[in-house]
Amino acid sequence: MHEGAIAQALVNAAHNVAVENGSKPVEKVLIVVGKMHQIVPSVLETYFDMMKEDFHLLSNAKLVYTEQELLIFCKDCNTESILETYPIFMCPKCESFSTEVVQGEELYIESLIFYKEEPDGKE
Amino acid sequence: MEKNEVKVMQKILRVNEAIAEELRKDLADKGVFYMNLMSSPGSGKTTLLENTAPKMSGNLAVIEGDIQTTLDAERVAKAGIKAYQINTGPFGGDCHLESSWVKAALQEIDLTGIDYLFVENIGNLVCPAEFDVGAHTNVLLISTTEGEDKPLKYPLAFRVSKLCVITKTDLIPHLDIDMDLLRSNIHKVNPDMKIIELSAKTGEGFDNWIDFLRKNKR
Ligand SMILES: Nc1nc2c(ncn2[C@@H]2O[C@H](COP(=O)(O)OP(=O)(O)O)[C@@H](O)[C@H]2O)c(=O)[nH]1
Ligand SMILES: [Mg+2]
Ligand SMILES: [Zn+2]
Repeated sequence: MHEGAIAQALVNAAHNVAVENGSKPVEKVLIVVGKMHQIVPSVLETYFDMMKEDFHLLSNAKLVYTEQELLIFCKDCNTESILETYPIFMCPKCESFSTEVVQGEELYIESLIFYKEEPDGKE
Repeated sequence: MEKNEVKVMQKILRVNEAIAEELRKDLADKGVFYMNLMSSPGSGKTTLLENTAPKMSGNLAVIEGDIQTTLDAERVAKAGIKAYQINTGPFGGDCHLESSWVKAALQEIDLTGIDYLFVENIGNLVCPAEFDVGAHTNVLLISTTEGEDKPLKYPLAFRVSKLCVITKTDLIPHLDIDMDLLRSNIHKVNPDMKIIELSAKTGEGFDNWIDFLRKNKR
C-alpha cells in the first residue's frame, strides 16, 4: 500500500531533520495530512513503527497525526467554507461548482519533539 | 511551542516532487508531451496505447509499470511503440510508480524523435494518485463496466487528473450503466475535467483522443 512508501519518505525526512538539529533522540513526529489524501492513519502508523527501527534517533518516536479539514473558496460568492459534501466539490452557500481548494491537500511534517535531556547532562 | 520542539514544515513527499518537477521541465524542453495513465486493472490502458500507435505515425514511447510480468511492454512493442517495463515486484510489489523510477527508466530510453511519452501506471485508483510522476497531464481511464460511483469513491485520482477517458463504449448496450450519471459524478468531483468517450474495439470516439494528442504536441 501507498502508506508504506509515504512512511518510508517520512522516516527518511524525519531522520535528516533530527541529524540537522543535533542528533538527539526524537520523542514525537508531528505530521499534518489533508483530508484529500486517502491515507489510513493506523496503517501509516504501523509502517512508521516498523520503519523507524532503521534509525536509532527515531526508534522511540511516536507518530502524531493531525487531519486537516477540506476548505474551499467559492469563486461565485467569494466565501470560504468547510466542504461537508466531500467528495462533491460544491459551495454549500450558493451551490456553485466553481470552487478551489484552500486547505486539505497538505501532507507535511509540522515539527519534531526531542526527548528532554537527562538531568545529569548525558548527550 | 515546547522548548525541545523544532518546526519543520517540510512536505513528506518532497523528494518525489522535486524529481517530478525536474522530469516535467526536462521533457518539455525536449519537446515531449508526457502523460500518466491511471485506472483500475483492466480498464483498457494497454489497449488504448496499442490502438493509438497506428494512428500516430510511430513517435510514441511507453514506460509500463506492473508488479509482475513484461506482458504489457511486449503488447505495446508489437504495436510499434518504444517500450520499457518497470516491475515493482522486486521492490516489495509497490502499488504505484514514483518519479525516481521513471527517471531511471528514462536513462534507458532514447527519446530522439519521440513526441509522446506515456507512463502506464500500476492498475489501481488509490495509490498512484498520491505520487506525482512528473507528467504534463494525468489521464484517468474508467471503463463503462466499472459503475457510475467510482469518481465518488476515488476522488483523489479524479482530482489530480485533467482528462478522463471513458473506455469500452461499445459495451453500453449490454450494461445498465447510466452515462449521464457517470459524467455528472465526474464533474461533481472535478468540474473542470475533460471527458473523452471511446471504444478501442469499434473505434467510436477515438478521433477525439487523437485530436487531444495532436493539440498537445509540443
Ligand atoms: N469491448 C471492449 N473491450 C476492451 C476495450 N478496451 C479494452 N478492452 C478489453 O479489456 C481488457 C483489459 O484491457 P487492457 O488494455 O489490458 O487493460 P489495462 O489493464 O488497463 O491495461 C482486454 O481484454 C481488452 O481487450 C474496448 O474498447 N471495448
Ligand atoms: Mg495494461
Ligand atoms: Zn458560493
